[in-house]
Amino acid sequence: MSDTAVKEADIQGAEARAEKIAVVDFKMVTFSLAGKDYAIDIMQVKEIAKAGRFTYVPNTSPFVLGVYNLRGDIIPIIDLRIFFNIPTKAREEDALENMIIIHIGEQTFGIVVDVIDKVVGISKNSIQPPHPIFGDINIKYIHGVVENQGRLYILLDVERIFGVKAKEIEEIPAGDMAPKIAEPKREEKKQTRDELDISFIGDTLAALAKFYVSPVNEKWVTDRYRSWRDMRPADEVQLASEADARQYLDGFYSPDTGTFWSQEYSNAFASLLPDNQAKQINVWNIGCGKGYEAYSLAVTLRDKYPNARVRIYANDSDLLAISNAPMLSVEEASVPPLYRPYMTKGVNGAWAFNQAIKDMILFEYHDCNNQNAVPNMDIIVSRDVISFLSLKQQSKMIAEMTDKLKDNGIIVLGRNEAMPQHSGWLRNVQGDIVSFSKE
Amino acid sequence: MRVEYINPFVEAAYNILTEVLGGEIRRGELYLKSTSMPVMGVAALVGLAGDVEGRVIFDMSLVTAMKIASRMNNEELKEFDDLAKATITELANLITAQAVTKLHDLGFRFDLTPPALFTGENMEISDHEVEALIVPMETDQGKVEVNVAIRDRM
Repeated sequence: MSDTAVKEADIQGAEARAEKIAVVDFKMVTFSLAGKDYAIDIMQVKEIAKAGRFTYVPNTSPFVLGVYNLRGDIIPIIDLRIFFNIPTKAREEDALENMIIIHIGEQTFGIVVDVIDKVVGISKNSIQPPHPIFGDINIKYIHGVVENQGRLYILLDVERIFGVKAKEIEEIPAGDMAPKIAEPKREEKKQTRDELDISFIGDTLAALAKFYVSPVNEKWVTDRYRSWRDMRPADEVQLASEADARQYLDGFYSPDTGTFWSQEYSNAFASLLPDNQAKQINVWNIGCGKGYEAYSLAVTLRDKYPNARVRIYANDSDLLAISNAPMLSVEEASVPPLYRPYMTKGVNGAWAFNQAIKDMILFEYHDCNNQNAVPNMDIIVSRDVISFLSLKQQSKMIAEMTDKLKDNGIIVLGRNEAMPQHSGWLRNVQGDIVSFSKE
Repeated sequence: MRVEYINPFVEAAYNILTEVLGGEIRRGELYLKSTSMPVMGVAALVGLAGDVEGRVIFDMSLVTAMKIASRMNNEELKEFDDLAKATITELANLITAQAVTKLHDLGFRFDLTPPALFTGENMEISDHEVEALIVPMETDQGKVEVNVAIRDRM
């Protein structure tokens, strides 16, 4: 390559060359990639740094190593070797990389190279256009070739590489280089990559769906990730929209959410309930939504404890949902036979629960993150609620439940939720439902 | 807060403000709040007792209070004097009384205490961890926030 370049230079007139070298009006930072010399216009270089352990960003092109915190500014880090399809050595875990921090317009990037050499001053006129024979690097990224003290530098057009056109350009290398370079690395690190993906999905779930991954639900999130990964194209594993997040959470919700409990669910629930001779049984239904859950609970408990006075404290922080709960009425067709004995037909043909059932339930517009002014409880039903509280609120809520639950009481969480292990809770499984009681 | 209690307060606030102020009254989004909150400048407090325990606070800025008092008295009041104070107190009484009447019709028995009026700058209400329903009302005279904190006796 250099022979050709030297010939190129020779073609220029000898006198003209002497004049060109005399004036230094262009400085460039030189560095090497796989033993070959390259240069970048010094005006685009902000600084030179050494750093490692970049923060991995999923779902980006393979040449993006991640992001790095440069004194408070988060900048993307690009590996030029991967970008140019130059073979790279295996990266060591904690090794520091040579970085050139460059400025293009408003944006700052870090590029990782093999060795940073020095600053070379040349004359602008001595920059020669790239020759099509330069095979290693796509010619459109080369601004020109410069000879200095017997060495030839390939002057890169960083604006071209990272500038405004970055988007369309990136797509090309991402397409044809990804399989060659990124794939083997991905195999090696599969476990970590999955874990990273899961933790990233956890972050997006919190942002898009207010769903917070915690010991309460992490088993489900991990299991779900496997089926999700197999179902989605490789580059669409991450959640990009609220619709994606909803789809991911599809299957999380407990049976009969937002509707009356089925006969089977009601039976399974009843079989979990301990015998209780108390005259008064208090039940806390957190997140009762439109009230279907509270009424189902009321009917199930009426059957189970016919002689007790059952009081259900049903809360929800969604005002629209809970507003109509006390007056809930449904079409005749959607009344399951189980509930019919407890309902009456109104004048307009809709069915509503009778007064005895209504009197069992106290619907409250209440946010369980605020102070919970409820008495001690025999039963707490909180399906798919805790997962939608922030981690701090989750632990506060669990402490609150522990505090309010009587010693012989039980807690029922969502189908895919569980009390954290080894935290003083006994599991009791009945069909599809798990209840928790104090150890 | 019990769902049945919400509407009577919202309706009463809307009806009374429309009746005494005229003009357009807009209701903001209802929400729950549990931390201590700053008072805009004038606060009228009505206590509730009976089947429930709690209180209702009507909160507004001094400017709004002056405008409302002027409007209700049909004269331009220059300072926040006894007449102005009595007027705001009366407004609080009117709204709470109508709400309680509505609740009575639904079968809930409430008693109310005579209103107390608080004025001053940089005031803050901090009832210890009581969850309150906030009903923001936007009037031509300014914003009035109805802050209802009641719970059933256990």
